Amino acid sequence: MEQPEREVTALLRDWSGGDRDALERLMPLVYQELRRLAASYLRVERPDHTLQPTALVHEAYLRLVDQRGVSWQNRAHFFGIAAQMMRRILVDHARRRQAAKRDATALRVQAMSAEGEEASVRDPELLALDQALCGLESLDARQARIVELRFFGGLTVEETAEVAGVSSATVKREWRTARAWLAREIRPAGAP
Amino acid sequence: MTGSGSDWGRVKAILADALERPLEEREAFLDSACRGDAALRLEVDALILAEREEWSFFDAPPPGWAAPRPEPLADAREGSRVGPYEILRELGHGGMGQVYLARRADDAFQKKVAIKLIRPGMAGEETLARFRTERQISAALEHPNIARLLDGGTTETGEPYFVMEYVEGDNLLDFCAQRRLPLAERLRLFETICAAVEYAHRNLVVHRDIKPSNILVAEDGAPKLLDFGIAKLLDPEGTVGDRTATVMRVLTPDYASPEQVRGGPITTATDIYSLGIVLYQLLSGRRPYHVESGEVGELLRVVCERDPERPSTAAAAASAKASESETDADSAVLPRHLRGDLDAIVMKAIRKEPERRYGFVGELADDIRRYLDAQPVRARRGTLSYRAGKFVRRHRVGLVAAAVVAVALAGGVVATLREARRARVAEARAQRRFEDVRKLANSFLFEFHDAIRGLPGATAARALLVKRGLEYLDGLAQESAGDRELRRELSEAYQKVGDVAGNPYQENLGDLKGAIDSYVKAIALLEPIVASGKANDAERSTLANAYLISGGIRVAAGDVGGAIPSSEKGLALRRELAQSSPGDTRRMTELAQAWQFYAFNLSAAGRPAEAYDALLKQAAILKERLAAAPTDRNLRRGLGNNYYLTAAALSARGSLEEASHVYEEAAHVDEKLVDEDPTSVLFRRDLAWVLMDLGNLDVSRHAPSEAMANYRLAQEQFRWISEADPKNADGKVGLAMTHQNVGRLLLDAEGWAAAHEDLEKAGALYRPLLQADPSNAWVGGLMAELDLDLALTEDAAAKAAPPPERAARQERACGFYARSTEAFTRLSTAGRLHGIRESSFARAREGSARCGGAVPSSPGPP
Repeated sequence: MEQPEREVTALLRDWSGGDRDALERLMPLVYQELRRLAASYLRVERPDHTLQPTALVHEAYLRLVDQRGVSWQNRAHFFGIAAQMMRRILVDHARRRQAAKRDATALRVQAMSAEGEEASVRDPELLALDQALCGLESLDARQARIVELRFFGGLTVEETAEVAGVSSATVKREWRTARAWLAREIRPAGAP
Repeated sequence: MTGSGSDWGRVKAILADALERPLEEREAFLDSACRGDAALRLEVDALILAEREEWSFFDAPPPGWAAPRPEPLADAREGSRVGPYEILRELGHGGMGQVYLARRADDAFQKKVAIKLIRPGMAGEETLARFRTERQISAALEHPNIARLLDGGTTETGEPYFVMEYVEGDNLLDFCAQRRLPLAERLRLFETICAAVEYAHRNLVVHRDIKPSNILVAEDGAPKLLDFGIAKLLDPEGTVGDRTATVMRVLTPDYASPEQVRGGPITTATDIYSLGIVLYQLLSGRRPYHVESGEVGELLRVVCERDPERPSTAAAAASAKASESETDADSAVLPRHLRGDLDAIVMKAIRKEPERRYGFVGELADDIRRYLDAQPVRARRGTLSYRAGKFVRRHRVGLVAAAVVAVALAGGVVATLREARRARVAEARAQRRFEDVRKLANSFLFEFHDAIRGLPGATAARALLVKRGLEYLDGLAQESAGDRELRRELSEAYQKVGDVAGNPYQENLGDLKGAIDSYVKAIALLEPIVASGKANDAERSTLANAYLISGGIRVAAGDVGGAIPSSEKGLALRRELAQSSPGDTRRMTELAQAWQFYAFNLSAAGRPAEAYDALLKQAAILKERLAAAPTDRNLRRGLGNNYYLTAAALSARGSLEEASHVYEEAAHVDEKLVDEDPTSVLFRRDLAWVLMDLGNLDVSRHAPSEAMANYRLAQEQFRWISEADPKNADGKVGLAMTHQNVGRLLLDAEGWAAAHEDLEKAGALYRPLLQADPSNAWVGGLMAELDLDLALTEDAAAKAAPPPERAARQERACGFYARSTEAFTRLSTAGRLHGIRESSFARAREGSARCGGAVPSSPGPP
């Protein structure tokens, strides 16, 4: 683990310093780690609690980056990338589970596995959110990105502001209005 | 999907503005923002509704994976590994788990770290999830007084751990107690702690569990806060009962805030509360609360309901108990030092309602700093006496000086304080005003103090004070454009400054020009709005007062031509006010007073007939009111004064007999009042002056024996006043005047030998008064008269004396003439010689001329 740690840290610094190529080399490393972590949690047999994906992002960060070697801005950018990937991983996973559930329903299997039941409770919400977020992207790409950073990346307002290149006050306004907009979009999907 | 499809940017802008407003204001805001666009309004309304209803969706973690169920953590022992760290020894254990000293196994520098391992069972899966989120936030804090969260992770068995900077030191309370740290150093230490918490708050991290054991102080005195943000991990949301139980289990109940105990929202105010508790303990040696039983009910009761003692009270109790049991209490802080400011600071920080605490940690720290600098603290803002007290302490001038300043400042400070109490939007401006007043007060006090040191009387210093007051008020006046109430208050303040300078109806500095200038400003502030017809009653009443008093000042300054129109305007306004609210007795009394002012000015202008008419109008009002309230002493006193002035007007008109009767009526009214309340200086003073004037009238009527009787009666009253109220200069002057007048009568009636004693008594009374205030023109004039009287007496004695004594008496008379002439000349040059004294001046000059050039500069002893 020493090797990727040093590499990711250096890449992160280079990228924050303006080196665009660094990002291309960084992304697969981050994605790989996130996938690996996600998979390890998904293997657990009897889960009865959900895990916050943002915590997972953080776990990846702790594993990949030497924290003493980076500034908080470097951190923010790392989480910025991770948030995007996290969303993708989460949505893919929810889709697969929904598909499995439909199959199960089609087969009239009465008893569902604990995993399927527990984990899928909010899957429709997640997929609706992803869809709504795509809608927001077409209206206001920056605002959608802020939601992604905050919700999937778990970034603080200040970190979000750093990554999105706007002021904290703007992040707060965008986040709040986006929540209202998204909530209204998602509600029909979440209704029984 | 975007609803109306209208421009999202526009919708978003209105939505954001609306959401930032309090609920009760939103409706009005939306009405105006969406005016005429129903579709827009509909969309924004729907979004606001959605935002409120679906709030919880985003508060829950995104749906994701199931978390692993952790295995119980095996006891970590020395030499065992946690992640890449090797455990060296246990440092301690607390509610949430053990803390170990460790080092990174692969670290060449062998740097030591502290590892906090969460106890098995403490961390549910929720906790683990939070842990991962929070860790990233806390790790971002970089501050010299915050122990860094270096790393974190989960052990192979899934237990979370934190890796923190290892701090060697004592906890805050031990550190202070062991070194018996003095108060100021404790406060500076606390200030540093506040700065660290403020830094964290700026980075959106709330500590949630600030307590002395989380604050370590290194040997060099630098404090470090531990466990930032960690408490949040172990404080899951749940029902109130669960939450409270969690607080009991995880947090230290004695330091938990009411909102933590109740399960309310945790904000930066929570940390401010805990800092307040720490400060409480740091200063008093005690905790404000102690939760004994550990039951939820008790915790709620104690933390949320009980009012804590003030720190000074707690400190007194603590030191009493310590001396009783002869234990070594941490008694480096004396309870009396806590009383006042520090009590107020602590109590503001630990208020039960978060919104009533300090708004930011920075404000708390600022108040500590202000205390250390002996400046007024925010926690106690709002009382004039408090601020005056502060001035005194800071500058160590006498209380008398401070009292004078407080009185003179009252107008400005009161206006500022009133404004400070207004809506928060005005706070910045009020703050600036407050600073202005303070600057002003500083200048007053330094300059005032220095000026008074070199002077026997306070007059010169007070003049400076008035000058500074004006400068300050001029600054405020320029800003007051849009604020009507402030403008009215300013007008009142200008009037107060004018009163100090030269309101002849009160003690004053005799600076009539300054007084007039102030009143001109007071009038200019309100005249336009009153002229526009839009003024309210308060504004009209304030302006009326300004017109009337400034009329009186102009008369005193000799500007009779300007006085009459001014008092006419004042009178007209008061008539309007009385007419617009018939039956309002206050307005009637004010109108009566206005007639009196007007009459006074007419008398001074040499129009006694008109003055007489005005006084009849006043008397009519007073009599009407007295018919309804025959025993009202104020009304009766007013009528007595009315008779007194009426008599003076009659006397001036030449109707001496009629005047004498009216004086008798006035004396009758005043005597009854004195009989009813013999302790009132006011009633006796009224009576004494009536008798004095009656005596003067008797002199004019060539009735010396009646004059003598009246002067003696007046003397009795003045003697009583000056004995009962030795500081009352007015009483002493009156007493001296009766002696002087009696002496003159005796000189005429019985010769110089009889006159001498009373004239000497008058001189003995005038001299100290004049010494205390050399610029007092009234006493100066009387003393000049007295010197003339003494010169005439010596002249008379010289004529009757044998030749050798005659020369000596002649010489003394010349000395008195010279001194009298000198004094009159001084007064004349200063423009303080009015009317009646001109003849005395002439006599003194004549006497001096007769003495020729060989006049000694001052008379020798008699």
